[in-house]
Amino acid sequence: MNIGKRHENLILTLCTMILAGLGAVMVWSATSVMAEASAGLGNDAAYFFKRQVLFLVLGASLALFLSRVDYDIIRRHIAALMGGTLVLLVLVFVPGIRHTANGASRWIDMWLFTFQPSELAKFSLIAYAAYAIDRKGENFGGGGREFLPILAVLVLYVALILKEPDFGTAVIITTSVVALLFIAGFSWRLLAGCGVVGIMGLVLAIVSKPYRMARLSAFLDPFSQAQAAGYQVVQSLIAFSNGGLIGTGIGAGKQKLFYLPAMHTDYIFSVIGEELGFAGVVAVGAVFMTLVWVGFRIARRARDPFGKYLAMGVATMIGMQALMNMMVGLQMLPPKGMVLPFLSYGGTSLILHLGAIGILTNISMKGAEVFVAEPDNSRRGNRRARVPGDCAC
Amino acid sequence: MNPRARIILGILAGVYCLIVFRAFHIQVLGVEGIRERGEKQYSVKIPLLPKRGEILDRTGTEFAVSLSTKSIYVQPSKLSSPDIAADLISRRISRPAAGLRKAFASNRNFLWVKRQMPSSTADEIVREVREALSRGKDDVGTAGIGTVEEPKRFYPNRELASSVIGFTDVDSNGIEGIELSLDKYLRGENAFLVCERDARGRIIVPADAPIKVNSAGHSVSLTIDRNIQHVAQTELVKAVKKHKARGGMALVMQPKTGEILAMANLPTFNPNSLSTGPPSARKNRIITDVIEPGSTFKVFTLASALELGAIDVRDRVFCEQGKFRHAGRTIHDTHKYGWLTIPEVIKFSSNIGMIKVSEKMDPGGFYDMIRAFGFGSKMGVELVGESRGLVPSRDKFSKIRRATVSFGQGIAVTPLQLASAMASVVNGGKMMKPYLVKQVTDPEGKVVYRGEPKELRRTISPKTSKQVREILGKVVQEDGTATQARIKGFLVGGKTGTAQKVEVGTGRYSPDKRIASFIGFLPLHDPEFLILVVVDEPKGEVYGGVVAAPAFNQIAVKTAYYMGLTPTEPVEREVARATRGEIGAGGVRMTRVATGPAEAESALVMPDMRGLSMGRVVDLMGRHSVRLELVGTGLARTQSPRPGGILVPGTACTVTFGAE
Repeated sequence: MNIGKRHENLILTLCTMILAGLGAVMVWSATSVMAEASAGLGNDAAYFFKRQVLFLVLGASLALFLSRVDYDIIRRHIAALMGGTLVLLVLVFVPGIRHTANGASRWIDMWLFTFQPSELAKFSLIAYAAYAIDRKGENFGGGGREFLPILAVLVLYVALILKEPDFGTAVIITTSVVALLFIAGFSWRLLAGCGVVGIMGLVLAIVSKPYRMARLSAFLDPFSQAQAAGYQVVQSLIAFSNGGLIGTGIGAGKQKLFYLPAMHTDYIFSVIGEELGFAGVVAVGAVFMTLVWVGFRIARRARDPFGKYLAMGVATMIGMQALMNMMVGLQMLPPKGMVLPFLSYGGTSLILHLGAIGILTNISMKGAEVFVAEPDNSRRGNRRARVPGDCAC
Repeated sequence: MNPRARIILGILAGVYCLIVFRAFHIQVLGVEGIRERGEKQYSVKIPLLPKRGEILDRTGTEFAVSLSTKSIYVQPSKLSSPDIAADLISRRISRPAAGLRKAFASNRNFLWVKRQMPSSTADEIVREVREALSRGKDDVGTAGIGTVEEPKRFYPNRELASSVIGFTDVDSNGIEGIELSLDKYLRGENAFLVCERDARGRIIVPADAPIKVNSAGHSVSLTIDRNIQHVAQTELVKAVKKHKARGGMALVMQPKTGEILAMANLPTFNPNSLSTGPPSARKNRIITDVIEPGSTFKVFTLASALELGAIDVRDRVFCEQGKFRHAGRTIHDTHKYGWLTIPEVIKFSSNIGMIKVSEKMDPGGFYDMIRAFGFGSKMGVELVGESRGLVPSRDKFSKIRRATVSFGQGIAVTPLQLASAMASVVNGGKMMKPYLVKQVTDPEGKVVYRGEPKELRRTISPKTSKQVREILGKVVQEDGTATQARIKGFLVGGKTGTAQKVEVGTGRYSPDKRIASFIGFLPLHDPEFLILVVVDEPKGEVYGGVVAAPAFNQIAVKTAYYMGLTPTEPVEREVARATRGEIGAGGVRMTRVATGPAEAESALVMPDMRGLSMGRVVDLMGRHSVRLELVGTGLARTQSPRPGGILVPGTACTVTFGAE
């Protein structure tokens, strides 16, 4: 099949629209009973739905805008982006500005809405990594000298995010950047070493805090403490179980009726599992995988290494976050606050992810018309795009 | 593409596959425990009253049934205007509106407004409230009010055998009688209204909420016979009224088996409206109260002395001309007697004669006989609250105590003990355990318990039993103490009793309060049933032979014909005709019976059919070969013969129906 630029853009838009549209519907289904019962929300069943649609419109506008602006602007203003992100991440700790929920200070109060800087940081760091790789240009060696500055920036930002605490975003940023560096050709020994150190740090962090240990044990055997630490996991599994093959139908799920906590944010996938069943789970996962696949195809055609790595980074990050969120819902990973891109309720996340799709579209539009593999079929990995400035990889 | 990019894509694709596998496992294959846990957390069970089993008599007549009624519930959190609902309901169920308003203003999820109402009334109220609440709106669904079916206990026979049947409280727990003692069989497993519940605990009652009934209660069939019970109770009422007594008891038992056919107490109560009578009227005094038996106890002294070989029926004792100084006390007889034969001592009920008889026995042997007859221990009938009675301990069984016990003083027994002991004396010496429960059947009709005759022990030999029966037969003869106990067609035996009551406060004998009793059986030579009649504190005449024996007579006649006993003695026409006015007051013709034993047929004692539907009347009377004439429509108003009257097969029974 010969898929060109236009097809890829179409698939990208289509996937995004499916996910974001389904998200709005599922948010409505998940929250209508809760919102109607809540006097604080004006007993408006459509409260969350309306807001999500508003975010959707804002995000779509941002995407449209970013798809028209040459993405090179990001490369040129990377210092401003990183600086601004850093300021916002620090503002989260300032009393009066910060907005705290569930014991975590992840948000900044912005009049009607709250803004979550860690969401921005995800994209900023991916952009920074792409920038750093691009700057090495032809001289790229993949050794420690190139690696250390990136690592230092990564550690600084991730440390701030961990401090909020926002464990989920920290994990997503770290794994996405490391994956991107791996693709870029950094020595796998170096990355593996960092990985070992990171895992050791993770183990230490878990062992040092009893509540993290409790969460881990609750993850391993949630049913032994179904009313306490294992509650979310158990309720999520019940939701999936209720769904069966084709689900209860949209709106007919029971788990969202105050059983499933954060059913419209972190656990929206469980609502999908209940109301759309196994079929919905497979389909939603498939749409995400298609999105990642298209992102990588766009990367191959990218005009320059920055665009290439930016596209791959964004695609990897969206894919990883989606899969990790699903794994948490299915008790394959320990719970950590992490939304499902496009589908979960939340302004910052939805708007920024749609914005990222806009950037991907722009990369695609600025890139070559089609990716043409070199005739050499013996080395399938050595295909190159006929794009000026493309590096050998 | 870059091979490393392929690795990353491959990892992501692999993880996606793992997710699909995991989801397939949970959603399609199913993991044990997850689904069940979900279902458990959604459903909430609101306990409903269990459907209790029925209590029937031996003929299958219902004595306690569970009627289908409806209970109204309200979900205050769903009421659109609680005050309107409260006012409406308050008017209909006559409960103060203020209380309802307050209850409805809460944000509770479920509360009962009124339980166990007639279905139509409950539905009407709910419809009315829903209409009022939905005014101006399209559809309000249940509007926060609804009904659930719940059974209510009902006793169709009202006062009849109520002290045996007992009653339940509003929560369907057995409180008295068989309802209490067989509660575990009758109760049934709890029923539930299964509702859904959200995580905030709010109950969602579907319009047609399923009622989960685990199992209805078992049915209990009693040995009581509705018709005999009716006769016993009616005659007891007559005797008590006639002698302006405080109360009374009547017991009909089969001496051969220990089956209790009727057990009546006065005063009594209507279990359908407990609040109208004093709680003391709900006691089954036949098992709970102890009385000094008086002369009826002489039977046991006699039987003991004969059994122990201390006396011979041909012996004579000197009765001291009515006054006897014995062990520091002076004992009197009502009449002066000199030398009396043993049968005469019983026949004339001489206290002094009984002392003489008892003195011939070894004291320990006498004591053991008294205990063997069951005095001082529970009989084990299927009721709660049975008394042991008061029997002096062996070391306190002194000479004077032996003397008074011999004629029934200084010992206290329950009427049930008295009847059971008497049964063993006349049935050939077998101490049969008295019982009330014929069988217990589960809802599927399987018999889970069957009451069977149980011989506890032997008391006396058949020879002694025969001797005592013959002596007791003389009591009702021309010059005996209970001539009024005689009935036509049968030889009967029995013994009168007139005991002074012990004052509750002082513990002394009351100067004027008496307990008059008669215990008798028939036919004399092969007793089929035994009847005890006790009248408490009769005014005027106080002697058992006058006060209790006539009631015995009536119960015995009707029971004998009802049971289809073949008259043992030829009954002459003129005698029968004379009897007609006496026992055939309901227009019953006795001529066929009177022609002789060979042609005798069983007569039917008329049940009380008033208030029954025509269908029930046909159902009830259809069991018997009677000609039924039904007049009018509606519920039965009058009947002929009257309730308790005797209907001989072949004659017509007329029931008139009318509107209420």
